[in-house]
Amino acid sequence: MTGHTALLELRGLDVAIGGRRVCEGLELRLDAGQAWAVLGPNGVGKTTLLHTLAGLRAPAAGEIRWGGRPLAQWPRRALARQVGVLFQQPEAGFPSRVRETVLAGRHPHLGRWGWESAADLAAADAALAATGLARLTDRLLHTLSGGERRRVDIATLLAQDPVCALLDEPGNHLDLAALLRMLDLLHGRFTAPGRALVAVMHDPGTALRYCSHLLLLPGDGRWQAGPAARLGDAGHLSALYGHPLVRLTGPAGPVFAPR
Amino acid sequence: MPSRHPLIERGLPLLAGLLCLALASLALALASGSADIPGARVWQLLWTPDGSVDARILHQLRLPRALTAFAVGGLLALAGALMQVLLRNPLGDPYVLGVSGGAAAAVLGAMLLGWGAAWHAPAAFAGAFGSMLLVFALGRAGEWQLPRLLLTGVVVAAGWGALISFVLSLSPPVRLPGMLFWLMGDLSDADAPLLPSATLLAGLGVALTIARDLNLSVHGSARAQALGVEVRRLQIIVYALASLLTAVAVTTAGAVGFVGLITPHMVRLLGGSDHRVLLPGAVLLGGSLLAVADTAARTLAAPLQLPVGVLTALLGVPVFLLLLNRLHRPGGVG
Repeated sequence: MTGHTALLELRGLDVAIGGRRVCEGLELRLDAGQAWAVLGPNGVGKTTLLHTLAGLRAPAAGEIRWGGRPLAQWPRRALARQVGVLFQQPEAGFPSRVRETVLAGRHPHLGRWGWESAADLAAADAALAATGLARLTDRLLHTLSGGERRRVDIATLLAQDPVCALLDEPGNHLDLAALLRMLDLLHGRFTAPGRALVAVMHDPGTALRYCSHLLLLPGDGRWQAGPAARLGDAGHLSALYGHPLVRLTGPAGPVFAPR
Repeated sequence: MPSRHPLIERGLPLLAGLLCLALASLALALASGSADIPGARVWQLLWTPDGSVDARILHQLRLPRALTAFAVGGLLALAGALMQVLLRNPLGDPYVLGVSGGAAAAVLGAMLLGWGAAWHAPAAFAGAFGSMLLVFALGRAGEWQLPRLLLTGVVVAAGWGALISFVLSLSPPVRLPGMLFWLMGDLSDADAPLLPSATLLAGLGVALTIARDLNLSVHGSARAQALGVEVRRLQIIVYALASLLTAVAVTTAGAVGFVGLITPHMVRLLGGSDHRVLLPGAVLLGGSLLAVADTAARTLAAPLQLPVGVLTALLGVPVFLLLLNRLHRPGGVG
């Protein structure tokens, strides 16, 4: 193995939820520049695993290290500069506007009494522009469509600007073209030097288009992790989903069709 | 074009407007009363008391009472704003969690036992804080769960309500008017603005240090945590602070309703959803509302004094409903 510190290192990680074993003894090393896709059937606990990595819930056993430092030793704010989460679903709250929501992504970069500086405002505006929300900045969140709301979450994550992004079904609510634009954007940002991303996905073709590595979770505690070139074939994926899949060659990489 | 900070764009004008409203409400409170003192003389006497009857009315009666009313309104509004974020529920209000119910039950119990008025404030404070600790202990078994906390609070509040009815039905008729006034919120004996004002300033100071954390909390605790908020610690601070503010308010003025519930929503509807604007804005608006309501309470039916709680509701409810209808349409500005 290389001598430098991994961005994220999992050792003997056990994650369980409601009596279900998500993974047992998971060993994984996430290095800068990598993009990992987490694949598995519905309800195997992919979101639970992502939340565990982000420190939002405790693992049953094992060790999670961000930048060589155990998760429990990270102060919350510093951790939020290291790792950011794109949540699967929006949560209803009190009315708030698009721009202030995205600007709130700068929170971990500010001191307790700090106010958003011109640089923070610029970061939020850049994120709004990149996600095509520049004309919606004054709108209230609950007046947006599902896809627009999704892009607000993506813009918030871009404004947060963490080293590593944990994306939970980033394509939710997005139409096909918007999905590709947003994934291009996220991939470009989080596979830049020194960065990395982990994304829970449902379409193996999309996963292979964007990700260098795969983590397969069939839902019985077993797991397979490795380069996409090794695991991204019809055999592994058919076994994973319990349904025969055929790998076809599309114009921009493989596509998997059910048999 | 570099865009400006949203707080400067939106928040400052709103706070400036609310500050003017607050000053106007205090001016109205000082200039109104059974003794007819002209406005110019009020202004003059305020800064240079000359020992006249008018000066004594102003400094010993109207000023302390106006400041007390303002501080109590501010306390309730601030507590309501905090409770609404804590519970992530627009119905959040100090009363929902049974804090004022505990205070009321304790005071009415003291009245029933024939304890003197000197005991009312300590009893109210003990009841409010005791109720808060009870809800806290019952509501957090193991993991802190907001629905559980809310339900526990609502049920405890209902329990206090039953106990209050029980005490009222046992009470001799001569004591009933005093008890009912207390239940409706009453500022007629309020002449010590120091405690509520100091608590209000200190509470607002503490609340402003967590204002950005509160902004994130309205989107859910997982999101807030992922953006660097220590959610559990924040929840405990918010709960303790809101309860303390409520305890001081009910100790001073009895159970004044509606201010805590509607004021934060009014500020939100006026465009102050950032807590750095919402919290001071709620203090200014809640204070103004109660100062005006109390002025009305002591002048409308003079020399009779009405319970101020009745007037906060009579004033606050239509204003709130109007705002909600005018501004809060889908796609609208509010």
